[in-house]
Amino acid sequence: MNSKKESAERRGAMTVISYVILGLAVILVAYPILFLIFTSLKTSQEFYVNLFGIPRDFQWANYPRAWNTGHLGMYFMNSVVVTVASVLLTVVFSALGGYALGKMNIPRSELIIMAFMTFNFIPGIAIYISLYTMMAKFRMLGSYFALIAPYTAWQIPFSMYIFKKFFETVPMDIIESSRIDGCSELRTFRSVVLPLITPALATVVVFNFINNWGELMWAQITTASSINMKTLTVGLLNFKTEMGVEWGQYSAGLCLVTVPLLLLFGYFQKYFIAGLTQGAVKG
Amino acid sequence: MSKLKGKNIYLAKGLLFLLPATAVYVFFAVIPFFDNLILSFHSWSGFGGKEFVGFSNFIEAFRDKNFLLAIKNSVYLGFASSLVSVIVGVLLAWLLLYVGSGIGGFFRTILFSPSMIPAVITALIFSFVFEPEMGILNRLFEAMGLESLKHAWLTNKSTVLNCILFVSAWKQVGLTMVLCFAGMQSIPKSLFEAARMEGAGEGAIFLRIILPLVMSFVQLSAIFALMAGLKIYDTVLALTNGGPGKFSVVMPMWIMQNAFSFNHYGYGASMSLIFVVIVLLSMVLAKGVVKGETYEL
Repeated sequence: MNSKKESAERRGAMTVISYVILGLAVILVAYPILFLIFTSLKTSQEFYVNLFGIPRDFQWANYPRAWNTGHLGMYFMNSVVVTVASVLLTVVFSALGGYALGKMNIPRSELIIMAFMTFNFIPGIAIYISLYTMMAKFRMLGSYFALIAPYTAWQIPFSMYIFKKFFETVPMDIIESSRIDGCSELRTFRSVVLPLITPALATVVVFNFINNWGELMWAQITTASSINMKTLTVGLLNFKTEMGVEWGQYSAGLCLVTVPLLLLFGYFQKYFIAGLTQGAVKG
Repeated sequence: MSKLKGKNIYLAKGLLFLLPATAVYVFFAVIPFFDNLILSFHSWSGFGGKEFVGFSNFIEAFRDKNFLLAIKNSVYLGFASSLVSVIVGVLLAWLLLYVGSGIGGFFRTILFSPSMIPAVITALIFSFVFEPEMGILNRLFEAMGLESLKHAWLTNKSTVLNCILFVSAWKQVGLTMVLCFAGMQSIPKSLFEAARMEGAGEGAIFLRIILPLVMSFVQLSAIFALMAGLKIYDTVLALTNGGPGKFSVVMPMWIMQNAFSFNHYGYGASMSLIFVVIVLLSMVLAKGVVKGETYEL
């Protein structure tokens, strides 16, 4: 009886400690992001006198000003085009490949996916130097192609791995009966199997979107001499100097990249995390 | 007989399904990698012919003080940020077990959000934090009357690397926490109840039951964090650009500069291969240190 009471007390103490520590961690993570949002709505004068707090007078005009300064609007559109196109292509290619490896009797499919995954550990810089010279030779530097095609390729190993893991959980009976009903393999894939693995789809889309939207090194290399093709991450690095000490506008520029991402994936996060943990750990 | 034939048809179709992914990956990753391997034995300025120089690029690399410093920094950032984010991430995941599921979900969403933000952006946010005059950190110390704690965080050799480490861990912890929490949630609650009935304390439950059961999740997140730290580039570029001087230079940064600013493509290629070897060795080492045993639950 006594030990039961003690145990309950210990749990109670742990609960209090948990709330305190997690609360502090949340502040440590959330405050820098909130600080950015607050600053984006302040005038430069207010930034100097009211560094930490909520803006007294919301300067929404900082946003259109940031959008129109230093080609930021153009960079934003470049990032959208490059990211959307490459994510779509990766999803199509790796879903087909993952289905083939998971369900279509390919011998040594485990070995094939491991080869992809091992290669994926190679740091990008060991690929970029040669790829840059290849792109230069084909006169492809400074085109959307030079960004979209490599981004599509580099996300394939992990995406295909996730798809393969999920396709393997689809019972063979469902596929067999669709085949017997006379559906073509592509039809079976698209209308029978694909709807069963939406968590995998969400995971791959979110994961690739984050990676390609935030990619910096290859974008720097391939757009070095073409102002019109720069993506947001590259543009924002130069943005600071162009803005001088216009802290409000500068922060608004950073928010333009961050806030849509947080809103969009705050929503998808549940599926994303479920898919990631299921795909990455099981097996 | 017909069954065998049917199987072969699916194999042929399967290879067709696999073809686009493989072709794209081979063309934009595998071929450039092997081309890079060949390039590393040559001296090439980007124009004109390539001159075969054997291993001399590699020998030069090990005499290059900046490259050796870059190796040291990248390896330090890799292992330290892996250690920090695993320890903090596992502890946070454990504490999440004690809070209600509603508020716990809110905590998780906030703590995971830095993983969504591009590394350049988190680094630019933290350049606000560490800025010596207007930065949040120094102003906070000032407001608390702790003037002696003020530093020029990013230009001081004694603080710069750990500032980078902090930013890298700040971004990485959420992923570790989420992965480990998923592992902890799959442990049957009856196990905890039984241990409590036997009089086990909460700390003992964590060390003896929870931790061993989530080791495969710990291993996975340790490797994710190690890879992120070893390959760190965006964060360092935006925070310090390798400064002060070359003090915080990291491997991808020094290789980038040699290849694309100094036009030493062959030399850059050979350093990038050394980088590959270091990354792969670190991964094997980490897998040995953090053994992930799988338990059937």
